[in-house]
Parts: sequence; structure tokens; C-alpha cells
Amino acid sequence: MTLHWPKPNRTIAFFDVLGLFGILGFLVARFVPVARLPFWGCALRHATGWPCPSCGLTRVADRLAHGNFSGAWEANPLGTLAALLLASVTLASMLHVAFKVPIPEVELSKREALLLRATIVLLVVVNYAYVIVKAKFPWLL
Amino acid sequence: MGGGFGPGGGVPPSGGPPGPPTVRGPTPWERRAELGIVKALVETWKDSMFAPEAFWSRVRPDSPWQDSLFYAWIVFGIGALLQLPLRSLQAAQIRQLLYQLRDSMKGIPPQVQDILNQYLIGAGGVVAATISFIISIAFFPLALLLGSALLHLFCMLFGCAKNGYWATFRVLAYASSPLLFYGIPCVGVLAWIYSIVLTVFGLARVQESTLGRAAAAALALPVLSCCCCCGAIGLAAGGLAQMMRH
Repeated sequence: MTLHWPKPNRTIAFFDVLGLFGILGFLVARFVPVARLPFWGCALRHATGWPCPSCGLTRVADRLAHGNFSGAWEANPLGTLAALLLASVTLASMLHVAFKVPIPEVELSKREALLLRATIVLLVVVNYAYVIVKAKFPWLL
Repeated sequence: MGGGFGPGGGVPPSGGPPGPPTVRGPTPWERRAELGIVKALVETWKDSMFAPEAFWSRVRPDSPWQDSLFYAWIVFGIGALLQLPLRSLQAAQIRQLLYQLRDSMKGIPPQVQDILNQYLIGAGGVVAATISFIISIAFFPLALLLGSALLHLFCMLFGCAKNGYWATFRVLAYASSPLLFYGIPCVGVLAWIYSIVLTVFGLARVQESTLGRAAAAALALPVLSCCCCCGAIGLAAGGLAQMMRH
């Protein structure tokens, strides 16, 4: 893995667009009661009783935006980690735009990239297993 | 955080994409100072719609992103303008459905109910259609920016992000050519599908990856959205149909 530190700059990059995404997501989760809108929710769960891999993400956003970390973790652990990662990206992006703080560029070797992708897939599978167990077989937890 | 997860993403395609050798250069739209705006717009639209393989082979991954944004914005604006009379014609029906939907809402927060009531007072007229037109035009750049960020995340995951985020942005912007027809009933769906097809070709060429990886990245979001939303839309449609029967 190689890490490049560019000179201080305000160049808008992918990182900053993700930061914008994070700010908008936070505002929506904080001030719009999305989960209480009619027809909102998981259609798969509604129709079959089985959750989908992304079940609980609305609750994660809502609870995290209101400072309820344990509630968010309970709804969807991987979603909580992803949301916290997005929050840190947002914070770093704000520092980048406001104070020219450089954002490091990470370059992975082919093997490392493959390993990272495999880890992401594994995390999604494990998280989905947890969501299923929690919804259908809660006595196992 | 510019490119992908590493050089693995940009491995020269072994199984594709086939086609002419890559000779990068400005698109007709990027040569609008020389060609004139209308001719540049028409040529870019024609090339991207009817000769996508040759078009994407020419698109440079590092040309100014603002050019592609303005192109997409103009195309979307013309599409929205074409949709305006249709939307006004359908407004009365839409208002009736919205009233029925509102009446079916139980336990909705009062603030949301107020917003909905205010919207419904104005809905169904030319003014509402015009306001909706202006809002959709104003928010289009933001939607494109965020949409391409989501797409780029999948590009990173599937290893077709060699040339960075702005290359993905450029692909999504030029692939919005079919959106000229998005407001026309039935044709709009086909336009959306064709836009995804153009995105697949574009990602493969501009990010110098394979068609398989590009297809996986471009289809991941629509497939996930369909899994989560289509059922909900189906339930909503079912609910509305049930209400209309009574």
C-alpha cells in the first residue's frame, strides 16, 4: 500500500462529493421523518417476513443523526460502520475545503485491492446473516 | 482517494471491450467554440446516441468536467421542457390520486401533513408544473454529482475506476443523452434503460476496463434500488388501485 500526501489544496475531488453526500444525508435523517412516511420500508420484509441486506439502514441514519449510537448498531451493524465512515469523510472534506487540509491518496496493490473487496463482500454476508437471525431467529442471539 | 482500490481496477481488458483503437480527443461539445453551440450539441447527442462505441473511444477521461455537466444540463433541460405540457395535461389526474393517497395516510406527522396539504392546494395546475420544472432543472447538477459519486463507489468495488471520479462523472453526464425523452410516457423508461447501456459502454471505455466490470458497476445501483423500491412502489400502486375500486 502506498500513501501519497499532496500539497495543501482545495481541489474538489471524489472525497468532497462524498462529503456533500454525507451533509445532505445527515440533514435528511435529522429533519425529515422518512421512516414515518406511508409505504416506506422494506418491501421484501413486508411481503415475505424476511429482511433484505439493507434492512435497518433508515433506522441507522435516523438514530445516528439523533446521537443514538447503540440503537443504530442494533438496527444494522455494518450500516452503522458505513455511516460513521461517511461522517468522518464528511468531516475531513470540510477541513479540506475550509482549511486546505490535504487528503491522502491511497493506492493498493492488485493483491491488496482484491483482499479489500473480498473483505467487503464477507462483511456484507456476515452482516446479512446477523440481520436475518435478528429478525427471524432472535432467540439465537 | 482519487482512483479505485488500486491498479487492479485498470487492468487492460482481456475479454473486451472490442472495437476501434482508442484515439482520445475533445468531443464535439468540447469544441463548441469552433463548431458553434447548436451544432456541437446536436453532434454530441447524435454520436453518443447512435455511435456510442466510437464516441466513448474518443472521450478523454481528463477533460474539464464542467463541459460534460453543461451538456447534460442542457439535454435534461430540453427533456424537462418537452415534459412540461404533458405534465400539465396529467396534473388533474395526479392531483386526484394524491388526494386519495393523503386520505389513506394514517399516523403521518402533522408537519408532513401540512406540507402535503400546501402542495396539494397548488398541485394540478400549470403553475405547479412550472415550479416542478424549475426545481428539477435547478437540482439536476446536484443529482448528477451525487449519482456519479454512488456509481463511482461501485466502480471502485468492481475495479473499473482507474481514471478517477471525474471520468465516471463525465460518463454519466454524456450518457444522459437519452434523457431528452425521459418525460414521454413509455418512451421514458426505454430512455432510462438506454442511458444505463450507454453508461456501461462509457465506463468500459473511459475507465479502460472490461464490459463485465462496467456492467456490474452500472447495474448494481439500479438492481439494488429495484429490490428495495419496486416492491414498495408495487405495494403503493396496489394500495391506490384498492382505494380507487372503493
